[in-house]
Amino acid sequence: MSKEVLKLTKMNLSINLGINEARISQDNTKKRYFRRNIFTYVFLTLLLVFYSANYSVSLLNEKTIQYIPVMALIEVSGYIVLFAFLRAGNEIFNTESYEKLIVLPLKPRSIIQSRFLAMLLENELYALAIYLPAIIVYGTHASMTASAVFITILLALLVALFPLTVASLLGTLLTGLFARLKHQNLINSIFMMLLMLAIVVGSFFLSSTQANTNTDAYYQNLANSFAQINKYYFMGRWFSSAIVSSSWLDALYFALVSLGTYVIFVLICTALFVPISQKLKGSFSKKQYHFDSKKMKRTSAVKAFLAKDLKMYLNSRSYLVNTIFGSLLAIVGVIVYAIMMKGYDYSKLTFNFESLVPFIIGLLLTMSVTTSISLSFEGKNWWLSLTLPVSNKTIYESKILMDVIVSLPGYLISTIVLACVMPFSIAGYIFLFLVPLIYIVFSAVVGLLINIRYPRFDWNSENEVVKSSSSLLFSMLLGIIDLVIPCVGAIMIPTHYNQLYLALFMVLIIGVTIFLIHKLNKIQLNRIGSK
Amino acid sequence: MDSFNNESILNISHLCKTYKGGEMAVKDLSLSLEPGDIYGFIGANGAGKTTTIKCSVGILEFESGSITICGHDIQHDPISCKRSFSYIPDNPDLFDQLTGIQYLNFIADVFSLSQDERTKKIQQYSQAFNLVDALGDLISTYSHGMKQKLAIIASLIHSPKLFIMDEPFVGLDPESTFKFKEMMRDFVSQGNAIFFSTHVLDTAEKLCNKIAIIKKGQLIASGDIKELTHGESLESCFMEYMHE
Repeated sequence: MSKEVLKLTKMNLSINLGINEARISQDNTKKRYFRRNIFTYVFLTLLLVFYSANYSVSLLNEKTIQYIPVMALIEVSGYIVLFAFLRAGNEIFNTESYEKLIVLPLKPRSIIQSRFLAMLLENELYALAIYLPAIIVYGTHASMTASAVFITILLALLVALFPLTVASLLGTLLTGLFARLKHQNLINSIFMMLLMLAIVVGSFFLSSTQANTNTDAYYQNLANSFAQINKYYFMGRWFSSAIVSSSWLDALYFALVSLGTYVIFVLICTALFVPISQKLKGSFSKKQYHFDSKKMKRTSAVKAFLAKDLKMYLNSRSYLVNTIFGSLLAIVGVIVYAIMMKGYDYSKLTFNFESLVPFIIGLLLTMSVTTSISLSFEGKNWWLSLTLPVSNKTIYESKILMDVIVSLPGYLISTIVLACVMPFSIAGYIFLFLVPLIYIVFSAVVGLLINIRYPRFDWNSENEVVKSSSSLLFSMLLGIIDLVIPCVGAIMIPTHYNQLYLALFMVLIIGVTIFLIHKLNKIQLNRIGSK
Repeated sequence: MDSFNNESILNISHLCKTYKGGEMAVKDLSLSLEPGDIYGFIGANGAGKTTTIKCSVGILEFESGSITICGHDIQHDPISCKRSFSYIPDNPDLFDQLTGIQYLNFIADVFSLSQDERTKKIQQYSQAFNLVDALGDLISTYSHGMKQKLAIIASLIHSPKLFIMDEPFVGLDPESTFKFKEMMRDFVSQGNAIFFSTHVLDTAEKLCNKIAIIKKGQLIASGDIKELTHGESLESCFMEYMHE
């Protein structure tokens, strides 16, 4: 690793995490960004630790214990591929810093390596948060030799390398492929969503095949699945054998393939770096633009802001993909449910599903609201909203409307499908349609208020505001709390009070939403982010 | 300085702005623009020019003083103020994800321009600035100068009474600079006014009828350019003020 790469990596990390600004700047806002970033990282890390430890403990059975290491590897790989894939192309071919760096006497290879290394260090944190708890659970219940412990520690340093390289390679190929297209971000987003949809559908079917079995058969099923993974996924086989059987040779294979793939990735990217970066920076000149009076029709200020916001949303891959996930989950979940539960006898249920289902749909649809970063997303364009002759209400309305519009397809499909397959009462149908809709509006308002509390306008890359946004995290947390409480209530309340319970909850949420909108409209735009 | 008449298009009176951390960026600044004025605002880097401009257009709040535009107070009636002026910042970040024409239509919608009016003005100004061919392209593909031209076109289409600009000539090609100066003169001849900051003293000297010089947040000179310079060049006059 050359000094050049290390220096560039240090600079990348310093910029990405906001370390430098927090350390040097006199502006307290920068220090707050940094603290919130750290909080977001710590929180996500703890979530992953909890999830990994919990799942590993659930595998403590004689049939499955030996599969805990490979399970940890699969979880690490799944997490990294899914999330790094979304940003790898943008990070490796960051057009913002391309012109600043390419004019310096730096090798393109060093620029690529430094950008990859910065991503690797960030991902290694999450990888270890998954890997270490799983290995500790495994180590304390299986007899590990000193040699196996040593291998485990060495592999911990490499566990994120292969999945990140694969994710970056795919991200690079996609970026290269779409760089020539005018609507590259929209096409890229659609591709990403299709991929996520495939993953969600796959995991739904996988979990549902294991759900209806007894405990013994469940473990046998799991063991068979892991055995299949080990059979076909060579990295998992080597990884598992290295730790479980203390095989140094398999550890060496794992390390060599990880490093070899990385070298190939660097070679490919070095060859493509300049042409792809130039394509991404290049212009798409439409010769002789002709005025079309049909496209010049007058609309209201709210509609103009809404149309502008929707165009920006659809053109931003990270914004779209990170906030549409809940809707996709709701659509896929409901369709899979409808297929799997066809002909199910609902009278067997010990609780009234009518009061629970609307909240679950609401929870899925409001998992990540667009409003929680909609103001921050304006970034350096924020001056326009401050200087144009529109009220704060117009801006807020357009942001809330956009969230409602984005949630509508998921809302309509999931509620209509459920209404077709589940035997609701008349009141049950009304609540099925009303509760999620009210929650969508409520969450949009709450998301906007959180963004007003935690805005960030001075970002350089969309990933900074979308992926590291504390307002997105806070609104997700609050969204879960807002809906888990009524879900618990819905299960606990006696059946004959269910409709009253739902009606009262709806009135409460509508009341709170009206109160919050009233509060929201009092907040002047030029006060946002000024404290 | 305090006796501003009612005809003022922009009236800044005893403006004080303190930043977080207690640094006073603008101290008791007053000036007035009347119809027909092209008012240049000059000073060293960090003197308080951009802060004054940002307070005037409603981006920044301020502790004391008042700013009125066409008789409306920017703090109490910001929307009426904003209907009367156009602002162009030093680095016009425009929505990169929109095309040039989508951006112009968006601005036209905000200012409630009719279909005919916007079509006529967008055609007129985009032809004048040679930007017609690029109107269908995403703004992200524009050069700095093209973005500057687009910002200028957007600010002209709704016929404001006042132009407030921060370094408006940066990035413009010579032909566009020439045309823009002509438009500025034409604009003020119709009873409007222009307030802009610049570091190019030669341009300020040739274009402006009034000048304000700011140093460390305080206005050290303002008024008619001929009275201030007494026949000397603006550059030497400015250097004298800076070293006083």
